[in-house]
Amino acid sequence: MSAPKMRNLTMTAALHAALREEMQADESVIVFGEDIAVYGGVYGVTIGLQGEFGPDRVRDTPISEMAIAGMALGAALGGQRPVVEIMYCDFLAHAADAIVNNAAKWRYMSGGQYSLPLVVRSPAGGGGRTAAQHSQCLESWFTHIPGLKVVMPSVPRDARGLLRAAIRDDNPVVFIEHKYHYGYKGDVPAEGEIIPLGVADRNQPRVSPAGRPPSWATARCTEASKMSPTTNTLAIGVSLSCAHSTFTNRRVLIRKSVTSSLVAWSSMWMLARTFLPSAKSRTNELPATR
Amino acid sequence: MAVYEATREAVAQTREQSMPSFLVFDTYRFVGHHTSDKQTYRSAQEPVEEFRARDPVHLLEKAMIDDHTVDIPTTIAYRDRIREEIDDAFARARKGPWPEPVDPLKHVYAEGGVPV
Repeated sequence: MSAPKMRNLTMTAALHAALREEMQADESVIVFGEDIAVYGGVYGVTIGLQGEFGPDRVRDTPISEMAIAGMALGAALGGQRPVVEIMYCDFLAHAADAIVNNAAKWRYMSGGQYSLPLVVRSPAGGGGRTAAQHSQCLESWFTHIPGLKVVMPSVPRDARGLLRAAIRDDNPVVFIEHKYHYGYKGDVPAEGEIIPLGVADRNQPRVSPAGRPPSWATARCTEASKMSPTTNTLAIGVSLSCAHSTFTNRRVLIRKSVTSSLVAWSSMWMLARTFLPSAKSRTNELPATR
Repeated sequence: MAVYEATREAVAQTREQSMPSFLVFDTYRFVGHHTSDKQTYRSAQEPVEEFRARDPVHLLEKAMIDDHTVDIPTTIAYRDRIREEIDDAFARARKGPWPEPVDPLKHVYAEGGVPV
């Protein structure tokens, strides 16, 4: 079998491709949020979707995250597969009731009668001097909520494959994108690929960062790589690319056999249940970068 | 009926003028938040019975009887049927097996989705 044809895409383009592919495959997939239709989203992920799929399926909303999440809840109960964008994850605080107390709970409280197939996409991350209300990483809030799936992709290939799986999933999924990672490039299979949620990511990360990771991230990853050489290091979301370059450099620097491996993990809600018990090394250490 | 009329008027006004309407309701609280609520926030002298006499549920029933929308035997039959349904539900629950310890963990997540 020949190697699949690859395209080199940014995170933004990979996410855009996932939305487009799922909208083409399934008419019930609808997209809405603040400034996502005419403008195409503050990070450009939804550019062109309204032109291609029309104003009924791609809508700008008023500036009310509560309304956006509530609409997603109602649309999902009504048989649609809404994918909504919350402009910054900090604003998920406004939307939390619909996500945490409603979307995550209704299947359980109805004894399995309802499905809530909705995706909340939201950029997170600090370090860009955007002040305290636009810099948080709040994935851990949602990771603590039973009934929610929380996904943080590391590389464009995962971003595309996991977003497609998230849209197809019958559960509410909080999909966190790092706002300083949108420009990172990586190889993505030209043919549609769907990566199942909750399955361990690859041990061999496919990273070809287009830009240098921020220095604070590199510093943290360097700390992690100094741990015992037999230790797995867990890299969550964007930190994978930083950790990967640090590890690679370190291997060159110390010129000795490094047996530690770097493990990427995107399915936040499965971390404690399936990943941690299997990944712990015999030294009982698991440095993590985030 | 006053609520019905006021709501109809407000909805019509909103539709015609594309403007928001507000309805303000003065309500009365008959019972506490839950069975253990001692209701220390109000006086024991409150004229609860006076308000009960104005309970809109009862007033509506009375109005429907007065204008012959329903007759008294029909309302009694309704009450009996509802009481029976509730009693049956309690009886079934009391006779039913206790859930298994794993049962409360069911239905946290849906299994399905659009096939890949």
